Amino acid sequence: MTELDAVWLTLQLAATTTLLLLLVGTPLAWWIAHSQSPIRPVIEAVTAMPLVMPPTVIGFYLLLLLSPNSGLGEFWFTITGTTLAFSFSGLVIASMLYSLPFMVQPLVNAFTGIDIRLREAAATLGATPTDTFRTLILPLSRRGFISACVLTFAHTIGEFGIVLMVGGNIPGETRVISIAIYEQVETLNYAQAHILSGGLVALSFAALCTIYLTSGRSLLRLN
Amino acid sequence: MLEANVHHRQGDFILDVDMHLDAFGVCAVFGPSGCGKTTLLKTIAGLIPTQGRIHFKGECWQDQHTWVKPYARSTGFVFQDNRLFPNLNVSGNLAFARQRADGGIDYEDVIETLGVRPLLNRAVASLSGGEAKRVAIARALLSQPRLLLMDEPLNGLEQKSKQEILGYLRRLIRHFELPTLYVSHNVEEVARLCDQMLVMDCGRALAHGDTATVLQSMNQSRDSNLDPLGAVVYTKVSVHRPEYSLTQLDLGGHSLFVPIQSDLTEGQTMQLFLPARDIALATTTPQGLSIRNSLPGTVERLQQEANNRVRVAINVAGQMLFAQITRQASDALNLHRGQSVFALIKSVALD
Repeated sequence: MTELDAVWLTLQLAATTTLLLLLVGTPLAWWIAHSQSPIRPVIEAVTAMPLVMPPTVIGFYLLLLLSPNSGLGEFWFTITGTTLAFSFSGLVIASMLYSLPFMVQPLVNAFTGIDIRLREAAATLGATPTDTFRTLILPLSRRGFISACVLTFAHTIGEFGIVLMVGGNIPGETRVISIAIYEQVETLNYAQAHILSGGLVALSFAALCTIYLTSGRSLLRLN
Repeated sequence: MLEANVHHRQGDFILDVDMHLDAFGVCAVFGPSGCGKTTLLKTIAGLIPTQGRIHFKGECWQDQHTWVKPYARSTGFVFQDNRLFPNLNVSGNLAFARQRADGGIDYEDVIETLGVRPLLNRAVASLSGGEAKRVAIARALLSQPRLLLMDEPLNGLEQKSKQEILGYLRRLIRHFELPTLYVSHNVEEVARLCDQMLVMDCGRALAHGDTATVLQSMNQSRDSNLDPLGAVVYTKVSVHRPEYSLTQLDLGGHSLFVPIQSDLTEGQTMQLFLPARDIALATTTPQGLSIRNSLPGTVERLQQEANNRVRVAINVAGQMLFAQITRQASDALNLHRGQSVFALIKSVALD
């Protein structure tokens, strides 16, 4: 059944995006939280852009960027033999950009919330900066990481405009849940649309509950 | 043993210290608040990048070409605010230090000396001020430092915890014999714990030497900021009198009673600070007084002070005491150099 394919594809997209953004977003968030550089506000603004831009605008520029006529698209075509536009890989890149602020901002908040004095203490106890990050910063910002991952995952699942612009509607490749819902409604197939939409509502609710439950507990423990 | 020649500017404040400390046990870094004591300590630990040169026991920690990172300097830091890690319990905090260090300081020994065994499974947030301080000290010791840096460890503690921590500090100083820099602005604390002191003011080191000598010379200083208004004396524990909650001390053959110091054993040395304001003078043997501490001595010097006060230096069995009395009293008793007097000590307590 194609609708199950759409669900499976959406989950794959959200998981891949979250994982890759975790790798990219963590150092970026750390830099934003601690850099004294004069260009920091500019980088922060760029990171937050997807929050305010219409998805169609991002999608439009991404479509140009990912097409084989652009530098990136051409490079990708030379090494993989496939195009980025209208492909799963292209969708991942688009989603990463679109969900970037949802990964970075909770992490920046978590990192800035950790007292620099604790890092100093760790240093006097013989811990190198990497050691301190692993053994002190990560556990102390656990809540921020949970929020960041859940928000990124949920947000990626719900994206529509960008996917439509750069991915189109190719079953098994780019046809995600939101596209499927749009198509079912277009064809007046409300029963299918209900199942998918209801599923998304339940998933989003569960995601947000996860965040507020974990943060609630952490707050109690810290005080 | 420790040489530091450091320069650091922080807004309007300039730290400019050139110090050479030879073999020392516990050296006080003493001075008024804001004089750069903590900054100096952080500089030595490598927490503040400064210009200059720091050598410890022949090892270069920084100079023009070298900068040893803070985690590679073998210092243990007891912060004023403890800085225990909130995500770990007490034993987790101790393990953090232990896993990253190797050395001769024994784990069991540390938790025994500081009495942290009953606290091991407690959450950091549940500790009282005094308990958290003991854990912080234990954690610093378990990082196997060769130089211990303590930033006002008694600050912010209530009176009872102060006395308790003071006892622990005295015990660990004797037991581990670690070179220690002890930041404090409280002269009584310094006099009790430290065998040497470095006096700082306005970012500079003004004087350095053994505690009694430096305190004596500070009594002559005109800088009211740094006036200790008292003297340190060295005594020996004669006997504990638990029935009165007192410890009897010996000062050159004379007896002195202080609140019981159960961490000291008989025969051990106890450093004591005698504040000038707490000493009264008598020219004849006092009788029928509630004050039990009366030490015979001779007047060494009289020094006129502001507000018609006189500071009297008294030699008691070779050690110098200071009393601050009114000029009227001094005239009425006709005090003069070489005169025999009795120094009456009202109280011997740390506040």
